[in-house]
Amino acid sequence: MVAMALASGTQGRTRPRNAPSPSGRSGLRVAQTFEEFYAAHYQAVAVQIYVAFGDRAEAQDIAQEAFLRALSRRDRLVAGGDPVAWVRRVAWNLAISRWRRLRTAFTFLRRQRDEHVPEPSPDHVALSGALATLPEQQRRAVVLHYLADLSVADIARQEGVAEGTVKSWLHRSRKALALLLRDEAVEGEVRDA
Amino acid sequence: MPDRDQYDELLLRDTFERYRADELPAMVAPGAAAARRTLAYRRRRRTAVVAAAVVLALATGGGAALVAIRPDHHAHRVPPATSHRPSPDATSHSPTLSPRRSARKHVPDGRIGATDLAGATLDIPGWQSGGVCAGGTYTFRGGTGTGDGFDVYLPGNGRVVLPGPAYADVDGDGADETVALVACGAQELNYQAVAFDRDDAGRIVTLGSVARTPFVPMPTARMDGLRTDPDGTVEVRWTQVRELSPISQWRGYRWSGGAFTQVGGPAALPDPPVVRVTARATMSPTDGGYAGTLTIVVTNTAASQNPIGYANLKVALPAGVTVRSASPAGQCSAADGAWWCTDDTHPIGPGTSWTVTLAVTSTAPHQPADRTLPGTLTLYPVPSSFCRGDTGDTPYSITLPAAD
Repeated sequence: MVAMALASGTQGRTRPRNAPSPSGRSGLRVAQTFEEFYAAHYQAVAVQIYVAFGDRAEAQDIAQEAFLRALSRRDRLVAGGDPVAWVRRVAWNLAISRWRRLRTAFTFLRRQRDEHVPEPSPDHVALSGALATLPEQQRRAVVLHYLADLSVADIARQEGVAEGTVKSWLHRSRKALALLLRDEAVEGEVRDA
Repeated sequence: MPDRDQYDELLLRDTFERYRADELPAMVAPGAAAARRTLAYRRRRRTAVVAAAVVLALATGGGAALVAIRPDHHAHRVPPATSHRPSPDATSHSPTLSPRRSARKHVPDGRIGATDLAGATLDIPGWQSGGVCAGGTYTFRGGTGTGDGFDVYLPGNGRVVLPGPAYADVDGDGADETVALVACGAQELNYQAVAFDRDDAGRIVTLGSVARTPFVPMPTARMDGLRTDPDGTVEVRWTQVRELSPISQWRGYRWSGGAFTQVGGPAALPDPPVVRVTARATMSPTDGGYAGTLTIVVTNTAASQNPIGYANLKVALPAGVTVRSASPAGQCSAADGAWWCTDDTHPIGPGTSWTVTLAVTSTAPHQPADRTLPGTLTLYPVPSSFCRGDTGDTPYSITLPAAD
């Protein structure tokens, strides 16, 4: 087993809102094995990629590739920094690169899938679709904030921008997303009626 | 009653919470063990490919022979045969492949060796939209690609010295990409740093242009250095051309938002030197007319950052004025009806000057109709291509004092 200085704790919905971010630097205090690190963070990273880019299988592949690269570069990760943030960033960049090459952000609508893969729910499609209307940085900020539970300060540090910039991104994104999601909810109610 | 912002915030939090609650359990993880197996597999595969390449190179008499014997019809965009990376076939059978797909892919490592690059067909971003050094697809052989009346050069070509490729994870995807310097031109050379990657099939693709020299008739800069930082920054060394003691500078670039932008180093190379020439005459009446000195100062101004090698100075004297001697000795001589001065042993640095003094006489009468005698100085700084200021003709005059 190779010990890695990785964040402890599970990134999840049960963490109190005001608790320190598990992916923040304050979380780097317990040495984890790669297996523990993987188990604690794989699903969260994959879900973040899925919601932002809309293809579950691709998101799983990308998250796996990002963790694999973390494993191959564990010496560098041990040396310092935030391993979760590193994996998340690599996953995002892989996703962006892959989707740019495919020239579409939502390939699941056109791709053939195996039968046992569940269809995404309309709500989830709506959320991914609404996110796709955002500029790349805003989309990432929204996912990091609402899904990865990162604070504004954490996002600002990871993105290398001022906290005010992140607040501005989130404010604009919130208005744009809420508008789209409200419209979607109304349409859904009309369909269901 | 919440206001609209609070309502939006609640709506988003609720939407994301439901998304997370639904999707987190459904997101099946291939597992850490699968990641370990894939990594081991890739490393074994890489080792095997390297070993095979070494054997093949030895069998064919060296790596250079591999390029020489490659048939022309193989010079299309394909994963190079000598690549140290796994082949697309190999990677498509990665042990961590999700069970949901029969042929999954990973993003291959984009490290491309100089030899592979020098024999590939590549998309090269252009320096201009058409004509010489336009962008397009070029087939390289031995590091040289041919356009319509011009050539494009990669490291390893036989004409232009370009440092070898550099590697770094420039786009933050966890795998390295390749950055290479490219030169292009029919006569004058233009330079560019270009980042290359591999696509999912292992083919070389162009990620983007890191930086390029401006396309102008007389380029003022070249690129002659390349290095990368572990954080993905690409550093390119820009160097002046046609300057004595050319100045070099490193500039850093980062991939951001689908393009490279400069993040470090100077924005521009120093401006060319600015030279000034002045003449001052001191004349006194003599028995037969006037005698005195004409002092000429050539200055490489403090605004310059480059020295000029030397200046050729032509001194056209006013009518009736002759030179009796010149100092420093050996720097001036008469020819073609003028005096020519030069000192090609001492470069003129920024903020410094070169001075010559001519002892002159005039046969003008002591009560001349016009006491101002016009002449012309002509300055030819070397190197001269970009010097600004008093190059060419500069008028001057010798003023004769009134006699008692």
